Amino acid sequence: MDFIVKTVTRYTVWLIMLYGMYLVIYGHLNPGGGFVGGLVIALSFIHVTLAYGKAPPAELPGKAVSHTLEVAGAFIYVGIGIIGLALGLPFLSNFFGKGIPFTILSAGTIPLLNLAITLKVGMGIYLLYLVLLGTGLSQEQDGKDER
Amino acid sequence: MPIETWLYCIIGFMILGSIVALELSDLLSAVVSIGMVGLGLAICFLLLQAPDLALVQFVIEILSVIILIVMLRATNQRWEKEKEPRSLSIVKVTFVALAMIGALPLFLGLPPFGHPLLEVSSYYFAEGLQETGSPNLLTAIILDYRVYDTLGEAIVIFVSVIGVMTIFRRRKKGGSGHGQ
Amino acid sequence: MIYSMCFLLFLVGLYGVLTKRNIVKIILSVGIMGYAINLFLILIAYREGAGFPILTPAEPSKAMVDPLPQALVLTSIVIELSTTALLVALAIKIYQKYHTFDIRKIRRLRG
Repeated sequence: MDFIVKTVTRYTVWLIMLYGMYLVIYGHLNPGGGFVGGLVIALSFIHVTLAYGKAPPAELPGKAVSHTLEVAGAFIYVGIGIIGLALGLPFLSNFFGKGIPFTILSAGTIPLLNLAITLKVGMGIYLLYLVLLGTGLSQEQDGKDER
Repeated sequence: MPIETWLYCIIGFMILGSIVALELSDLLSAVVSIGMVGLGLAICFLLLQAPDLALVQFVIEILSVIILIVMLRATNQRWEKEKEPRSLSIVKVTFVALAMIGALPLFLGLPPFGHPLLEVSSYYFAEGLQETGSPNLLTAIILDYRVYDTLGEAIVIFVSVIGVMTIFRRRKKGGSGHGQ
Repeated sequence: MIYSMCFLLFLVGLYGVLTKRNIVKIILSVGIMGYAINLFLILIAYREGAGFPILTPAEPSKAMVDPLPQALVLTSIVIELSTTALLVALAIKIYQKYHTFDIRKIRRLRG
């Protein structure tokens, strides 16, 4: 891509990622939550990939790392459910103390589940994008080899 | 201006954008038109008092446009070459118009816009903050009352990722001969 | 009558699925149908003069729209993206195998 696109990306992509983290952390107080936070974080990775192509300035998670993080999100989600089950409550019940409403550390397991959903959705969509992008590149290379 | 007038304008814009997207023979322009339709839907959600949905729809639309453009780039096809004969498509348009006419009486039986019959949510309004501790009632429903629903959604995304990776799996160059 | 506008949007998507022969156009039509369904669910839950379903410390109780359809639609939107990605993956695979997006030619070349 252009020099302008690369420079603007370098100075703005951290803001996009920070906004995604804000959406996750304040998901139970403000509009936001795990879904949109994960998607915004995935979008910040995709932004860097689109602007820089094969040589990004920082090391981005590859297919193996993002798949591991995605599965880790699923395990955290189910693990919270099993902890509730071990305490004698129904599966995935909200077993923590509720805390004071309208503060960050409140609402029991909801912030933890938000984090799990963030890993699951964000890394899942980023992995889908990586796999689809890889097909295009490999096909172009195959075509060049055939010629 | 009342909210209903705004909604008529935006839904009309969305219908127009969809028809443009389906009738253009340039596939890249069609994908961008679909992006415009999705952004119109995000504005509708904002007007209908659903800010969470507006955020999600906005981001999802950008991502789906990116994915569709990746597909066009991977296949290197920009123009729609195949068109249906006019006589055949007239028959199908007639069918769609008949479906519209046949469904119109059903919409007259619905409650008027702005006065829903659903009263289930009064329980959430009364007890939601005490029971879950989350002021955002949407998050409270997704991650506390209907948490199994979200678990199923996570499983759907997982299956989708596994499906895409299986479709594009590569056999190892050295090992394929021994395997079969 | 705003519901019938929404149904018209759905029918535009149905028209695309029925008449188009290009796989990209069919994927776009499926997306349009999904938009119409999501919009209908939110329209039917809207209450006049009500605010968004988020409590604030300033006003702990107020008139709010129904959050339950919004929760269902939030799930549905994300699932729609993964469905689109799966369809795109199948379309790329079909293109790599048959070198066309035309669904009739795919049927002819089977076997």
